[in-house]
Amino acid sequence: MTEHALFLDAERDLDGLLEVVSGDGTWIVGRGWDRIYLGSETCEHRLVGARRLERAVTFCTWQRVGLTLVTPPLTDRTLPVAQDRVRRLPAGTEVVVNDWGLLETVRNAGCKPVFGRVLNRMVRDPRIEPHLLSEDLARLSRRSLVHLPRMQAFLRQEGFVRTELDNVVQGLDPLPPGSLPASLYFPHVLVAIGRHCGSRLATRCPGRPCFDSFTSVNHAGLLFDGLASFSLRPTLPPDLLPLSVDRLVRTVGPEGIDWLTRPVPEDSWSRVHARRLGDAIDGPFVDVVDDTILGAVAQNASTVLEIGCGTGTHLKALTNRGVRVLGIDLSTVAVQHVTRLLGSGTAIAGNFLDVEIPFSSDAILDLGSFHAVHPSLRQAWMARMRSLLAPDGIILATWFVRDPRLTPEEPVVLLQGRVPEWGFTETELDELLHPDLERVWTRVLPADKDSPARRLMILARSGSHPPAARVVAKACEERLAMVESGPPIPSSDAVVGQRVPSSWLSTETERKIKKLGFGVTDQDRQANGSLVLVVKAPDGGRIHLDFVRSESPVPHYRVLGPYQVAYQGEGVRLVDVDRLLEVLEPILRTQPGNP
Amino acid sequence: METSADRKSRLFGIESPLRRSVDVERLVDAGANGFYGGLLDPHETLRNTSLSHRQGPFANFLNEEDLGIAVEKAHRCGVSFHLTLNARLLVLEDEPRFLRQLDVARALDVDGIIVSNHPGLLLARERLPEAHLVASLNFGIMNAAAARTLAALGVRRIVAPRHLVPEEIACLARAVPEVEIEAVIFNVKCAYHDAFCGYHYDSIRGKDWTNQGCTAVADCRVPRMRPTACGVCALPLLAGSVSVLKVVGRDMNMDFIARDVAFLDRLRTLLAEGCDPRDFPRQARTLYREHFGVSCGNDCYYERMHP
Repeated sequence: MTEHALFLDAERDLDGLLEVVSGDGTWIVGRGWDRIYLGSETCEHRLVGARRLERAVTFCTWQRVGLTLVTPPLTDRTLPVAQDRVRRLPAGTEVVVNDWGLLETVRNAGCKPVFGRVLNRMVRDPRIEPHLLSEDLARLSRRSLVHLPRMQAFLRQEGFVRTELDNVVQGLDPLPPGSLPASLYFPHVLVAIGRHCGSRLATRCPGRPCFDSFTSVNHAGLLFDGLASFSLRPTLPPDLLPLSVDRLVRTVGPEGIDWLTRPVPEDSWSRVHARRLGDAIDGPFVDVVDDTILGAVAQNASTVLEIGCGTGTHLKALTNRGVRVLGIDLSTVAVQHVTRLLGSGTAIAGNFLDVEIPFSSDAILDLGSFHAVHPSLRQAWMARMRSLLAPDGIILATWFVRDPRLTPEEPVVLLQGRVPEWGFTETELDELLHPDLERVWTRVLPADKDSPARRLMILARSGSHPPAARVVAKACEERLAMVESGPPIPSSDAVVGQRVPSSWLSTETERKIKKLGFGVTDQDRQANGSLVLVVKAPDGGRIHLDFVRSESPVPHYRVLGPYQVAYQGEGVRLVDVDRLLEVLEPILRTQPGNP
Repeated sequence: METSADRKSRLFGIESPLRRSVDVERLVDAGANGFYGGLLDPHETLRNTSLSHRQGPFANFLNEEDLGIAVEKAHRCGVSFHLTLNARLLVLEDEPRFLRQLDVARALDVDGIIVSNHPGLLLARERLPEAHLVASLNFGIMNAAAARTLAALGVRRIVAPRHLVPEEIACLARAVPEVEIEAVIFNVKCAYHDAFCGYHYDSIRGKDWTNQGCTAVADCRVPRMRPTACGVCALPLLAGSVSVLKVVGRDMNMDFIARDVAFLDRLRTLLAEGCDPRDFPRQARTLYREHFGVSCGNDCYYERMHP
C-alpha cells in the first residue's frame, strides 16, 4: 500500500490548507492524503516558524494524518533554530534530515530521522539522454548513495528509519534487499542547490518573495524556487515495489497548493504563453497534430473552434486552407498574438464557459485544454463542448492519461512548473463524457521525458458516424506512424555535402598515427582556426578531438602546443590517447596563424 | 624569535593539484606545501566512470609509476600528497576498483585520502586506518556539529564548501579545532554547492569530460560557473583559522596553477610580514597586476557576509 504525502511550505501553503479544512473537516483524509510534509529541504531561511509548527502538529493530530518536518542544509547560524523546531515535536515524529549536524538532535528528541534526498547523492541532470550513456554511466546514473548495502547498513546504525529518492528521468535501479523503506518525490526533481536567491547572496534571507523562474538548461526545462533548481518529471516509475518505495511525496512548487482549491488564475496562462512567445523554451515537445491532420480536418469542416488556441499555430494552418476559425484562450497575451497573426475576430480571450460563441462548429479542437480544467468545472465544460458541436461535427482532442496511483485531485503535470493539468484515467474519461458523445477513435501516445502519456481522440455525437471522423482518423494514423518512426535521417551524402573537409595533417604525421594503430577518418580546419580530428582507435573505438586556440585557459581543455584540446569518444584506451597527442603536438606548432 | 618563515607556515599551507611527476619541483618552488591528485587505471576506457570527481586524463595521473615518482619526489621536498578518491557517487561494482586504489595508495606511501561520501569514507577507514582522511567539498559540511560527526568517523580534515563566506569558514574552523579546515582560494567557482548538485556533465549526449554548459541556464539572473575566480582578498579573514588553502583546477594547465601557487605564496609572505589587514586588498591587487601582468578582474571567489 503506497502512502501519499503532500509537501507544503510552511509560510506559503499552511494557511491555505487550514482555510480549506475549515470548510470541510475531513478534507485531507477524504482526498487521499495520508501525511503532510512541512518545511523546506533547500533553504535554511525557510525553516518552519515555531507557531506554525504548533498549528501543523495540532492540525495533523486532528486530521489523523502523519506529520514529517523537513529540514534543509544548515549553517551554524540556523542550526540552533532547526534544533529548536525539532525539540518542539512530539516524540516519534519524522524529521527529514538534510544536514548531518541535525541528526543527533533528532535522535535525542525521540524523533525518527529520514535520510533526505538532498543528502542522497544522485545524478539528477534533466538533460540526460539515457540511450546515449555507456553501460557504466547508465548504471551510475540509476543509482544513489542508498543503493549501496554499506550505506544502508550505516544509515540503520545511525538510526535512520527511511530514505528518499528522486524520480529522475533515467529511472532507478532496485534498492538492495533489506533496504530501509524509501519515499519518492514527485513531480519536482531536485537538480541543484546554490547559495543565491536569483542573483542575491543568501547568507541571510535577501527577502521574500523567493526567486522564482522557469527557464532552461541545454533545452531541458528548469524551475527555480529560491536557492534550488528543479526539473519536472511527471511520470512515475511503473513499479515502485523493487525501489522499496512505499510513499509518494507530492511536491507543489512555488505556486503553492492553489491547484487544490481553485481554478487556475488567468494570468498563469498568460505567463506561459508570454514565455513561449519569448522563445525561452525549446523543449523536446512534438506537436502530434500537424499539417497532415489539420489538412484532413479542413477538408471536412467549414467552421472550426479551437479551445485553448494558445498562440494560434493550428488556427493559422486551418485559415490558410480557407476554414473559418475561432480560437478561445484564457491568455490575453496569446489572443493578442493570434489577432495580430490572423486578423480580428479570429480569437477571443476568456473562459470557454463564459464567452459568447456565435456559431456551432463542424470541428472542435481541444489539444490540451480540458485536462487542465479544474475538476469542479469539468461537467459544465463537457456540456458546453457538446452544445457547440454541429450535428455531423467531430471533436479532436489530446488529453493526458492520468496515473491511477495519484490521489484523486492532484495534477499530473505542472506546466512550466506552475499551471496544473490533471488528465484522466480511462474510467474517469468514460464517466466524464457527455452521454450524447462517444469516442470513435483513440490512440495512446507514449510518455516522453517531460510529458506523461496522452490520448489522441476523435469524439462525435453518439451514433452519428460522421464521415469527417473516418478521414481525420486515417490522417492521425499516418501521422502517428511517422512520429513513431522518428524524423527522416539525412543520407550520408547529404551530411558530407554540407562540409568542406580540409586536411591539416602532414603525410608524415598520418603515417605516425597509423603506426600507433589509429586510422584518420576525418579532419577539418574551421574558419576560426580551430582544428578537428576524428580517428578510429586501435580497439575499434572512435575519438573526436577539438583543438582551439585561446589566450586564456579553457576549463577542461588541455594545453597542447599553441592549442588547447578537448576530446570525446568511446572504446579508446587513455594511454593510446596520450600517445596520439604526443604525435600531434609537433604538427600543431607548425599550423598557420601560430605566433 | 619567530621568523617570517615560521609565521608563514603558521598562517596556512598551500595545497596544489598535481597530475604529472615532472611538475613536483616547480610547484614546490612556487610555494606548494601539499599536493592532491587522482589516478586513472590505464586500462580504463574513455567511457568508464572514474573514481575521481575530476575525470579524464587531464586531471589525473595516468599510471601508478608516475604517481609513485611524484609521491617520492614530494616527500623528498617535505611535501605531502593526498590521493583523491572523491567521485560523488560510488556504485557497488566499483568497490573493488576503489579498494585497489587504496592498496596502491598504501604501497606508494601516500599521505592521505580525499573521499567524498560516507561509503568511500568507511571503505578508506577500514582499509587504511592510519591514513589522513580528508572529507571533500562533496560532503557539504556547513556547521560545526556536522563537522564533528565526520571527526567521529576518523576524518582529520574537511574542505569547506565554496559557498560559505570567509567569516563562516573562519567560525567553523575555530569551532572544531580537532579537525583541520581547508578552503578553496582559486578557480572554478560553481554556481551550485558541490554537495547538492545533481548535474552530471559526463552523461550528457554521450560527451566525456566536458562540462561546458553545465550551468548555462537561460535565465541571466542566475549565477554562472566562474572558472578563474580568485579569493585572495579574503586571506586576512582565513589565515590563522583554516589550515590549508587549496588551489583547484586539476584539469587546468599546470603553468597557470604554478603561477597561482606562487602568487598565493607571495601573499602569504606579505601577511607574515605583518601587512595591515585593512590595507591587504589594495596591496594584493598591486601584487596581482605585478604577478599576472593584468589588473585584477574583480572576479571574486568569496562574497562577503551580509551585515
